Amino acid sequence: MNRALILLLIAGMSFSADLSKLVKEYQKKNYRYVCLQGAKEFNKLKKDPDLITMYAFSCLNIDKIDRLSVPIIFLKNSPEQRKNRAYFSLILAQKNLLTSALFDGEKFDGLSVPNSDHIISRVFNLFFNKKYKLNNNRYNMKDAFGSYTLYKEKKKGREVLVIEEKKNDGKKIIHYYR
Amino acid sequence: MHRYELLEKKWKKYRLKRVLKPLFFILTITLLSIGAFYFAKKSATEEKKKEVVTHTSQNILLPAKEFEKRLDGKKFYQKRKAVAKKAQKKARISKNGYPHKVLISNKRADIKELEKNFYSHPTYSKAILLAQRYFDEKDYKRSLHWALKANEINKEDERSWIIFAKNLVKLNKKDKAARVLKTYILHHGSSQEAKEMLKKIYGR
Repeated sequence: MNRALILLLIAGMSFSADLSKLVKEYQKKNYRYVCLQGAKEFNKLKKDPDLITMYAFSCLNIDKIDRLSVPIIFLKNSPEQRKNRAYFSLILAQKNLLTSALFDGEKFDGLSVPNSDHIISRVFNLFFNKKYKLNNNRYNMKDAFGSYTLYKEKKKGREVLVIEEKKNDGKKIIHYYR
Repeated sequence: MHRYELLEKKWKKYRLKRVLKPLFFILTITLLSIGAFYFAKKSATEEKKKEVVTHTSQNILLPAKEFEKRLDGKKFYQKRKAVAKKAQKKARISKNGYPHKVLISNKRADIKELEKNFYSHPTYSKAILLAQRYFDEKDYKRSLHWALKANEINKEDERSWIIFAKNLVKLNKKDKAARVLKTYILHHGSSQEAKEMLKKIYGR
């Protein structure tokens, strides 16, 4: 009985230690840690919507958009949660539509969806509004924030969606989406 | 006017027309292309402006990051306390849902086991315990034996002397019992219990 009590106490202590570490890492902008560790500890953080949101933004920051599907289910109890849920859902949907169009050649005519500040949304709008130049199976686009090259490539035997982003300040980022 | 002159005039008019026609054509095309280029440029800049406007307009779906401010104030120790409380509560309740009771049982050790135990680790208290047990069971000879064993280990303690004397009394050896008690009182200090027992022996 005593052993069980001690074990449970230790479990309780580690519970709080894990979550406070996740918060600290998020504040340090270590989004990779928060997303990967948050997935393992999701059962603990799912009780707190702020922690779920933190986890979702961390995954979004490291381009793990598919992981947003789980937080979307939980964020529903306040205007702020619903706003973020809509934001995550939009990005997830846009990513999936882009993937279908690029991988399978699906055509989505007359598509009208809201816009967001995320790179997926920007590329999505440029792509479906046909504001691109196709060159060697690469879609080159440009907007006020920078230029983008959209294409697909095989990575570890799987097809991935690649967006090469070149910001106006010259900074280059390559995003991979499954 | 002579016919030649008229013909020359006509020819000059015709030559002018011939030269001016392509010039006019080229000029028109140039003007048109300049116009088209200007229009295209204008529309492109307008589109760009429009794009910027759409990106910065309020219709755009933006994330709500107020939760970040709340993250600072989060105190996880409260949860830890709650978990500890829960754990305590859980630990107190058994599988069938009834709370556990702490049971204290007083089991009398088996005399043979006690003897075995004494031979493996002989101690004064074990010998005394065995002497007392045999005395309680009215096996006075055995009790005498264990009282002697205890006395061999510790001669100072009065308990072995008293049990020894008690056994002698029970075996109708009162004189010997009295001698034993007197020896103890003489050599190992004054014991109240020994004195009282001595009085009882003489009183009978």
